Amino acid sequence: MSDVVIVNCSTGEVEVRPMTDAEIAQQEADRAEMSALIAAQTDPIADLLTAVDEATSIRGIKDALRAHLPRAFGRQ
Amino acid sequence: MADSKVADLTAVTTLDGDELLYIVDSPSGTPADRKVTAKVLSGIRLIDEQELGSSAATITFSSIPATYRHLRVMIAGRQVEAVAFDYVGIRFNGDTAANYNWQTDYSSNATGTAAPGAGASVILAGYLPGSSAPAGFAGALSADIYDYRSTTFHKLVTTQSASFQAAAAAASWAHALNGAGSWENTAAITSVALNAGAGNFATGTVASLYGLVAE
Repeated sequence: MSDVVIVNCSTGEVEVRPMTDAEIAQQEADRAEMSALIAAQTDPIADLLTAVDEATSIRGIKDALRAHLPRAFGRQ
Repeated sequence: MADSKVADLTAVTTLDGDELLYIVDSPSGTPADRKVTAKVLSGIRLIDEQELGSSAATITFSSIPATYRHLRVMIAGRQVEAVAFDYVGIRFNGDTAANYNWQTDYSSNATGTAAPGAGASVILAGYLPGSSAPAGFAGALSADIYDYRSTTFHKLVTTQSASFQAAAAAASWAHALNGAGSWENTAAITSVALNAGAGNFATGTVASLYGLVAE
């Protein structure tokens, strides 16, 4: 069971208590949200190069460039 | 006040800012007896701090007095849980809704990455190492919160963090981060919560809250 520490800056009192069920649920929701946001962040240049490498036709290369160049140049 | 030796006076260990101190103005010119208020002597003052005696998932500074212009949060330490590093989140006034936005630029070895978080429920303020990092390795994080007592604008934060979590020059051995965050709320900030992304801040982690003087 994790604790929370609350420092009252007006009185100097420090409260240490176990997390409530609601706080545990919020922490898990925060982690899920942050994991999704961080996972969505990949290197746009690496993504572009990978897509070009994986293309098997001129059309595929064009599609890869069209899909990844804007983000590689910071347009998305 | 009766005459007494300075050494015999009762000591004041903390200053409220309105104390008067005696000074000699222009000592090498035309010396004059003057007074000065203590608050002009220091631009930044410790409001409170907490050194963890045991691990904790969150550290919250509550009932923050509205007597400063800006706030600065500083953390030195690491996290528990078996990860090399994880994020630290900042939240204001207990608001858990999707009212936060953040933008970070961070680097590790020779790679730099930009990362946005829009409509998030917490601001990503930086990274601190987890328990997979070698013993003794630690991280540091600071966050400046601007005009926190204002009720005019949304609140803005700039952040920096340094996390060292593996042997020197190994892959992902360190993260250096610069970031920005906003809270889409015009309310004055009265509490700041620091959340350990990995689960808990480790024993010995120190979190400090400073106030930058308004005048």
